[in-house]
Amino acid sequence: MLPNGEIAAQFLQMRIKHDRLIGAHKVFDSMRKMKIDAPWEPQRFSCIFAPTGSGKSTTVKVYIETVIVDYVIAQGLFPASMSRKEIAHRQHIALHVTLAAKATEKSFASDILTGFGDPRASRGTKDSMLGRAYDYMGAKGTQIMFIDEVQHLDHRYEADQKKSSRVFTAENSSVTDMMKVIMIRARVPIVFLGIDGARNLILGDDQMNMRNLGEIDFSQLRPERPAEQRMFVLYLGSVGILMQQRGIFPKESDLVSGEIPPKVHEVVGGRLGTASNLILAAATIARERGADQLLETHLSAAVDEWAIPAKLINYNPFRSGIRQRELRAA
Amino acid sequence: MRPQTRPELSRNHPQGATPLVVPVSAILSGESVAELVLRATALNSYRRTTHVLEAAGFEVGRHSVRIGSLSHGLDGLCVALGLPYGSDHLEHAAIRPITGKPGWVNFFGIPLRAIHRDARRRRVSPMSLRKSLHLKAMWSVGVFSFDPGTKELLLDRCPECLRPPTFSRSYGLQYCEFCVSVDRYGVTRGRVDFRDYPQPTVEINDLEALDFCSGLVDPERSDRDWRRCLHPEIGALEQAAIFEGILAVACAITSRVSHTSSTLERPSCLEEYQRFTPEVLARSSRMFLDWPDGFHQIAADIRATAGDRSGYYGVRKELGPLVAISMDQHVDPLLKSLFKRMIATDMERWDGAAQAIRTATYRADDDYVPVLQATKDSNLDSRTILRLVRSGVLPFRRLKNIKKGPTLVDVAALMDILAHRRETLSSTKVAVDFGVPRACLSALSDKGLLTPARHLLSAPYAMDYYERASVEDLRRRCEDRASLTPPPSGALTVTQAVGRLLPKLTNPWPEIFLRIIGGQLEVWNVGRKSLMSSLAVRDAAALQFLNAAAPGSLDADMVLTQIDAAAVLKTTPVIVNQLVREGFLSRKPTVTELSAFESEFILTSEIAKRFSALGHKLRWRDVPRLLRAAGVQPHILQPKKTLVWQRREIEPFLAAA
Repeated sequence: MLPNGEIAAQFLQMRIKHDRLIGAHKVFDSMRKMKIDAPWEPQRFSCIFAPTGSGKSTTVKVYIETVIVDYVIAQGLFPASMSRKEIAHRQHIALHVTLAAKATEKSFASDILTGFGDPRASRGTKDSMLGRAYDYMGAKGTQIMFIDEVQHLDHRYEADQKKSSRVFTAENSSVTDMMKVIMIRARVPIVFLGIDGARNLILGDDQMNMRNLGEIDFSQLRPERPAEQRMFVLYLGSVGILMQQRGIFPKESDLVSGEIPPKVHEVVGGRLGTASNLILAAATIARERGADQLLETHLSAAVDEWAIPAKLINYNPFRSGIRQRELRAA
Repeated sequence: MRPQTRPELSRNHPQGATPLVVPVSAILSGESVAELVLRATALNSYRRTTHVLEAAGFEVGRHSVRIGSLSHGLDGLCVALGLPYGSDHLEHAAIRPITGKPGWVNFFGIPLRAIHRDARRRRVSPMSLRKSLHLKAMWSVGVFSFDPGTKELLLDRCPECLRPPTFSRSYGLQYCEFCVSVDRYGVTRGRVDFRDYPQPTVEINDLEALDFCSGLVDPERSDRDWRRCLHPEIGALEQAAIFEGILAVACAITSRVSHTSSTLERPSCLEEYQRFTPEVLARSSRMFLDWPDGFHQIAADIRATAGDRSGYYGVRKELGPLVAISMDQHVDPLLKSLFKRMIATDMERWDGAAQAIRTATYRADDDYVPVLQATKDSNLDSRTILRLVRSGVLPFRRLKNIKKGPTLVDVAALMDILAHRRETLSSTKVAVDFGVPRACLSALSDKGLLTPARHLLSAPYAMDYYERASVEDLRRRCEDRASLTPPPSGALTVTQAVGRLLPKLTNPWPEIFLRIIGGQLEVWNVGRKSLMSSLAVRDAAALQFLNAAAPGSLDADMVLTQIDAAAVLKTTPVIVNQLVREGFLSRKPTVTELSAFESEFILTSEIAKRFSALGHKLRWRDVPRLLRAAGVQPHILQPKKTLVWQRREIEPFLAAA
């Protein structure tokens, strides 16, 4: 299957609100409120640990593109006439920092500076870079910082093993200490985002734990829970409508009727982001076949051409039906 | 938080420029590019200004960029600093060289000599930093030791480490870049806050003049009405010309008196700008505010120190530093011409000639001229004129304590003397002309034979003068009586006859003149130079009448020359000179003194004559031997070994003979 850049771009720009996203945004709002009301006090953190493709990063992006952009426009920091995408890119009220692989203290400081757009983000000593980051946060009025891919703190993490060491190395400790200092020194609340295996890196430290506001639930949606099942179906329905609205297909696609939702759920393991990726593959196939809407056959073909090679699943539920033994417990 | 109103800069940044995280937003009042970059450095927590320049797309290498004179790549800088209005404002704040005017820079639209700025070190005003945390370009102008706004003296080095802050590093505009501390989180921060060290403010009487000076180049001053209060000649000048003129005057009034060069003594390095104290700047500014009186005031001050300056006379001696301004290459040509004219005016109007001497070139009046000029005008040699000066006859002016200062003589007095010389004859000349001792001339005047001239000399030894007409008339009348036929054999000149017949210190001459004029004494003209040597009598007996007549007296108080004294003593000037050297006579002997000498001493020649008159023919060389043999010892005058005898020891021998 050849990727279709046009369709992929449309999917990347899709923003679908769901209950978990809304819940996460409420937590983010409360953390910002904490910063605004107690600006000179050491701040706390929250965290989201979920498998890849759960929509963690997208949740942060949506938060910045909506809540934060509205906020900075209301504050007069950016003109309303400016592109919201550009505002989201240039604002520093909410800082989205993606950790580099095998993060060290210096690379962490560099990542923060990169988040600010510092031309000399990777230049200087660790202390000078960190001092600069503190100054930027103060100068820019940063209210919340998202630290993504925290599993990169674990140097023993092996991508193919999909698990991290439970041993806390000295380097891990120093970086987490640094994050703690940021909450104290820069007085900025932090949201850590990472895969499940990274949980121990953050919550394994008692001092860090004392500053934990709680973990935001972003785990896989379970079909046995009606609310989560409903959330999944609504998500698929929204994708079907958005594909028509974004011009991918002339007609709306019905992704909620029949056995489509449970079969998709079976393939993606209850991960919303992965579901979008599956539908993207199916849409690409449908466009290649000249269809005017996405059908179940296209989803079936996507499982064969994309999901099974990606080792998401080892059979095609659209062709053989859902194997009951493969259902995962909550 | 300041609104982020940066324009669309994310695309197509010139020269690879990247926006800084914290933009400077706007150029603050009084900031140039250097101060702006330093502020951007501090705002973005960079430690070196080169970091900002790198972000602006500069190739920052060793010695490649001097922030103090940054003038290119402004587009990139504008992007990096996030200036909202593009590079136009930066263009105004850029201090760049002026094309075609080497050594000058464009300082916020005002031409300024680059040497006046210190683009490497920064100075700060703690009080100004308290008001607004930004540096000002005026603080880099070394001329001013103070902040024009607050009048606070600028802090040019860290109060603790004593090192001057620069434009290369920063821990914040208000911090010393060398004194740092590490906070509890390991971040290095500035430790010495300049705002904690307020400096004294300038206390000066003429604040208006000081403000005028700083306002000429201060970009924060927008008052353009300053020309109205200036003299039109000064108001016609450019701001930069006036400012450079003020600095030139400040150089002039702070020049060392030992500065011998005719060029203006300007500061050779920035440390020497300490000469430009607020008081000095105010004084020199006041000159332009009070033009032209201000010029004359400064000129008077400079002239007052003329005595301390090297040289002897002239405009350079009196107004040397101002003359140097009129030739200075950095001063505006129009201002230089003004200075030249004002110098000439000042020299003309100045009437303090009693205090200083200068050439006639710069004198308004020609009442006094140098001796050289006087020699040309009067046809007298310089020795004569200087003799007149020394005698006090001729008024003169000359700097005191100057070895080679010129002597200016009073022209009117000199002309008066010349007229006097044309109409009169001195007693010396009359004495030579007549062949009679000078001491005898006053008696001729008493008899009405000569008419004395009015006195010009004030010195006690001044000679008498006689009207030339009376002298010539007396000579003519005597010569008219002389027979032109050859004189009889045995005839003697009158001078010879008097010498043989009469003793010393007698004055037979009035009687002789009267008898010649009256025709009672027959004389022949023998054609010599002096009158009495050119008239001859039959023999010495022809003057016997003098023995019967009452002898005339000599002028007792007359000061005689040594030649005159020799004539009175009937000896030679050489012997008189020896007598003066040995202390027998004074340098300026009077008749009274000669009489005293004559009564106490006797010379060998007179002794020989007296013996000869008594019938004892003796040679001069025999007289000492005879007298020594008789036990009489003379005084010996060296080096001619002339003998002087005590008259009281000799007279017994003469009486016995």
